[in-house]
Amino acid sequence: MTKRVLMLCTLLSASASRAAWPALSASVGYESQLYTSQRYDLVDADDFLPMLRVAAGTGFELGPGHLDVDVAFTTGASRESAHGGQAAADLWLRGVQVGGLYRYGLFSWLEPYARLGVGWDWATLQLTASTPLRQTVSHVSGLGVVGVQLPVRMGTASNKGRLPFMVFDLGGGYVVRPDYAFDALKADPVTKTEPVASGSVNLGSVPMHGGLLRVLVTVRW
Amino acid sequence: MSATACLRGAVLSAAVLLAACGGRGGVYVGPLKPLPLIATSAAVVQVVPETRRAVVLTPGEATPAALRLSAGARAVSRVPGAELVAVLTGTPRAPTLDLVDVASGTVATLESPGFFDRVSWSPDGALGVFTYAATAPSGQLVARNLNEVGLLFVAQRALVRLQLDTESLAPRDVVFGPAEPNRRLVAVTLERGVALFDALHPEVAPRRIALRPQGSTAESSVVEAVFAPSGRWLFLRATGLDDVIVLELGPEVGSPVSVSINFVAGGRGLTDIEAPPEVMGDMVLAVYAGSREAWLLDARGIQDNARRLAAPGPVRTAALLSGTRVLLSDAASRTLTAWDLLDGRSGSVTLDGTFSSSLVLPEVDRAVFALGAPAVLSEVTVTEETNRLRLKLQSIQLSRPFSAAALDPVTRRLFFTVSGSSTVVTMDLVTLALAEVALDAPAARLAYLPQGDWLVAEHAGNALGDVTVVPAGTTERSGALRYVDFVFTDDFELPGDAP
Repeated sequence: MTKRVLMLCTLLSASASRAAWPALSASVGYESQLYTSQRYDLVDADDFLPMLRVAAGTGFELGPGHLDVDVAFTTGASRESAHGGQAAADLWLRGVQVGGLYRYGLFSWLEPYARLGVGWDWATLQLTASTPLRQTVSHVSGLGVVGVQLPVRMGTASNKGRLPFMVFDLGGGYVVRPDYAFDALKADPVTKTEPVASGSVNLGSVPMHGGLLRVLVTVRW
Repeated sequence: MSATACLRGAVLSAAVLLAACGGRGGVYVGPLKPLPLIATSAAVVQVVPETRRAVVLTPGEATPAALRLSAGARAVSRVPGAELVAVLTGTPRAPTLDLVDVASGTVATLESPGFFDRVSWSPDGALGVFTYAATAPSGQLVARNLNEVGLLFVAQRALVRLQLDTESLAPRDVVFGPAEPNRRLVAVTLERGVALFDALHPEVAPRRIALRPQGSTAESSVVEAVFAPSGRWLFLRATGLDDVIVLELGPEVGSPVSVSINFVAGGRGLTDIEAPPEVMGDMVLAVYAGSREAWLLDARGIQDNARRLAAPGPVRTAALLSGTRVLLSDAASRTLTAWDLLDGRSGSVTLDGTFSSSLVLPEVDRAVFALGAPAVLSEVTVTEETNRLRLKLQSIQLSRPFSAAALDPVTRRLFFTVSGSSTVVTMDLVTLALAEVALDAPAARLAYLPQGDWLVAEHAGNALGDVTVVPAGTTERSGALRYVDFVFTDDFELPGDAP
């Protein structure tokens, strides 16, 4: 698998070297968002929401460092058994983000960075006891991250043009969102023909802001 | 800085974040065990002790609302005639009472003088008497004084303690006397007698009337108590006694009420007593299953005033219809007998089978009997003929046995369902016109909410809340709204959790 990724990066770098493209990057990684409110325990007892993050972006030199901008998609879910097994709570959070990252090359292999981003997230909560009750809520989000990138040059100096880097990104920060109000969870109608309408259940609101940890692998060329 | 040091820092940061994680809230761990659903005239209320909430479901509103309660809810009861629900809360050492005002959406918490088990309400909803049940566990308490009761003045939201000081254990029943100008007598029946107190003067010691004289080996226990509408008499029925025990109550106010005891005899095998309407004067109705008789006995013991009806079939209970008529019946028998206490006329009718449940509706001067085999709903009305009463029987065929009912006495509609069916039937008690509406699940209980003219069907098998509300009398499913698992309302709003 690693070999395949390296070969792909090499091919991309060969084509990129033929033109003066702006620096491009693609990343994939794991992000863990941490919600310490007791309310969040209904949907996730251990407080961590694991997220997959994929992003694509570009970058340019700015002052002594580099500014990278990217567009990312994140998705993550948790499932929890609540009330002694009477109910199962499923939370699915996904969203898009645009962000900017400023990094400074302290060493050739170490680049500390700070990142700011803004996004729009959708959260779907399904509470299943006798029947699934479901609602989707969306809100704006913002995040700030600091961390370090560990770039590893791919290829040799004899290659012409820009050489791709595989960048290992370790970061931690905070994501800010308004509380998510799940105030109208509804069941699907039992019968299709002339269904009886469903009343809804207001679960209240759950804070969805908290710390985050991320480990990303970025290919930058 | 080396790469190793950098990684070490990242790991340390992660450890700090992990350490900051909250534990799981205990409220989400244990199962929810809601208390029985309570209907007021405008809403239904379900109390969830584990989450300390009263979930109020008001038909017409898309989402139920939750009100925060004190911890330890263990019993719930509606205050008659008011949009109030009383919830016994607290701990054995710090008992409380929560009064949930459904109309205003507020909860008032009162300190309770005892960790009571149940409450009895006066018919007008002005007073509540809290008592212990001898069979209830004492919990973490080593000892309980079962002879203390709590008296609640609903309007004043005041709860006071009274000590009955009887030889008996916990009260069996509480009966409220009629409202008098300066007093309101309350009778608390006990194993060995009855205690009487004036609720408007709780500082006055209760009067205790022992049914078993001290040292007696008699095993009689009070099983029923009935006040005369005048408030002058209290009638008691006791086990092993065919006589009605008559307590003549003095007019004292502000001091213990004086009592004189008399025993009046009728037939054999006393099974029910009723206080006839006030127009009948100082009389008590007694039903004797052994001799198949009903007696109208003079409370003063004047034998010449007594009236007797020899029933054509077995009788066990009596229920007041309108005016001075009563309906006598026995669930093990098919015979119904009506008797006019004033003029002595009577009449009877035979049902198609024995009945499993009955609903006597003095408001509409009729009774409805649900027969199991054949599955029939029989409506009985009483009409007058020259020298007798005539019982008119009209039967409605049912596909399955009758299972639940609710009544709208104003527009004279009976709502019912049959076992295993998801259809709710509206029956006009005057015209016997029927209207059916099919819901999605069978109803275990029905409740009629006069405010807004709604019918609530509580479905069986889902302890987490499952009701359908439908406009009363409708045949259209389009007007129905089903609420499922609504006890989870406000589940994110944990008690004590700062936002």
